[in-house]
Amino acid sequence: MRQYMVRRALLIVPTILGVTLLVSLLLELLQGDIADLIFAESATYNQELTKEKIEEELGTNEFFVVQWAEWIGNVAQGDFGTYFRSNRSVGTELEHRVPVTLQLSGMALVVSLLVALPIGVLSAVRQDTVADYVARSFSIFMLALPSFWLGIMFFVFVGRWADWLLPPAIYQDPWEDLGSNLKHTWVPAVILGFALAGSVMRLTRAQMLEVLRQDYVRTAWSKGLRERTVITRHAIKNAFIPVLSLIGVQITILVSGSVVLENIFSIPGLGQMLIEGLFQREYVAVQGVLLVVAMFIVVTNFLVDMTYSALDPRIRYT
Amino acid sequence: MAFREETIRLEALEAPVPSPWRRWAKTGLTFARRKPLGAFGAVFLLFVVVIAILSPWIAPYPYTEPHFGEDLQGPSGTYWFGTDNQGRDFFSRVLIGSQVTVLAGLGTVALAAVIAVVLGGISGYFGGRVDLITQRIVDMWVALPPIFLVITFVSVLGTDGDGFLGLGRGPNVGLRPKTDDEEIWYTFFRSTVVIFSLGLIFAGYGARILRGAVLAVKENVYIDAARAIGATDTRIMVKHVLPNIMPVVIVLASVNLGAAVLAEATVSFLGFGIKEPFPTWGQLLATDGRYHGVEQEMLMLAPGAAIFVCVYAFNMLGDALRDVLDPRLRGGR
Repeated sequence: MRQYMVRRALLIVPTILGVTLLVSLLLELLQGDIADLIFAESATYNQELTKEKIEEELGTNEFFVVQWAEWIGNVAQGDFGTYFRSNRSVGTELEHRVPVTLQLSGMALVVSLLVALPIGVLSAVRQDTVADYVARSFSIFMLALPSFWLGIMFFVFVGRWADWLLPPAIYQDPWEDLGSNLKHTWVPAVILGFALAGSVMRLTRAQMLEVLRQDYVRTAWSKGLRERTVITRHAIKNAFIPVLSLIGVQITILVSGSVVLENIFSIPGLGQMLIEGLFQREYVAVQGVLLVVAMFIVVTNFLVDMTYSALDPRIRYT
Repeated sequence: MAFREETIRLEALEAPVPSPWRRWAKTGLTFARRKPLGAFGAVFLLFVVVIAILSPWIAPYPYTEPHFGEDLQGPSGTYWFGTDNQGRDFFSRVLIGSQVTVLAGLGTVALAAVIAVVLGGISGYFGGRVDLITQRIVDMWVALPPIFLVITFVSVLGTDGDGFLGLGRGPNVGLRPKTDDEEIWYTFFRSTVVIFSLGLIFAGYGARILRGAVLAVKENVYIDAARAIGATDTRIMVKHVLPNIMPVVIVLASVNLGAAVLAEATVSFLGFGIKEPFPTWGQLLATDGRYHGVEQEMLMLAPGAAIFVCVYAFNMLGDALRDVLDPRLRGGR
């Protein structure tokens, strides 16, 4: 077991290196790079400028593997590089933006669990009743509702009927102005949370149904325990373990979803940084964002797998 | 051997042979009875495909035709969904938008299925070092959130200029404005970029599942039998493994269809997909819906509802097919 953990932990490093190399390759293939853009912008008033000169100055004329190696070496020393155009540090930018996305994703995760777990359990316990039917249709609806549509509808209808609910114009960090920050983030968090809740709820229900048919649950019933005791003490504990692994998968969806909602609610998170970086061909920023995100996901999945085996002693990886 | 074949044929002659059409119709009816929502999904898919194909003829106005002085009108008898800020008939634009949805949705799942079958098949069948390397690559693949990959991909492959691998390269018309027909061709080529990107990403997830399916099929005795009579690896893979993982492939494709439509809409919404003036639902939401939805709700309601109903119906179809063909895949997504 310990050996497996160590091996899994060691695998994190090559996976992340591989991801960044893959991204480097993609960016190398990108149509029209930063040098083209700068050339197009400045060539009219600087006749001596050539594309080669710009590339040389920016260091983008090297083979992409060389560029990648240099970049990853710097990252290992804590230097994420600078933007090509403004000399802003990508590291500082990430420092500002990572907490924003983390906050949004965290809030959404909490919302989704608060919604999905009770409804999922209820719909399994009251299988084939009206409550079950409503809950199931709800989860299927949530899977199909585009979150960006919900966001736009919020702006249109809430803006018309209850404009005091609209998010403030400028995003404030929670430690600066908690009220303003929450007013800005609670709607996207709820939308994202509900989008996630659909699949979590379906799995919770399926797992509960399975557990409720187990012998030990029947034993609990026949001992004459109350329904609440049977459900909370015997069934839920065992049903939630696979749900935990789904949450590991959800992290990717969570981060993806936050890209869209950050865009609509103009929250300065990682998603916006990525989109701006791609539009302006600021590869260093793109690389930085993707590195952070990949690290986050790989580490979360590792932790989820480990917790999984800690919660269910029958699961032993070798 | 020859003798046996003959007896079977005689029996077959005696029994009434249902025509293949009949058999299909019967399967379809059984499916509709057991999974009414799934059947609704299938019918709806067919409906959307027909609409998409016929949309240039159904649309009451050309989708680029501006009606001056009649911008941002509400729904009326003349303009069913009203008009956008350039006075273009919004109903026609939503109808035309279904083309990209259908093309990108079906194209993505088809491409993803092919890549996933090849990757998962090779990885599962050969095992060992090939398997290890493929799986590590897939691991990296799924370590990045799909939307990050898609928008990176779409901008990498480029929707302008020469494109990569010839993707996204439309007809060259020089500086004159494009006609509607040429615009459609441009859009088609640009869609290939989106399809290629989304297809590769969905394939990453599919390859994992198909590898598992291949591993399970490989354990069967008939594979050993085929090998014992000297069949080559290629023959075993194509003739014995492939038909047996086909249900999983169909389920994967249909389960992914809704997700693919949603992903295309998201990409278009973020501004990385098909560009103006050709409409797609995601792009209509991002431009008309977002900036003029306050004045005319229809601009925001119609494309969003179209995406929602399509994804819902396709998910229903996928779920029903999964329950019928491969119940083991239930749970999870």
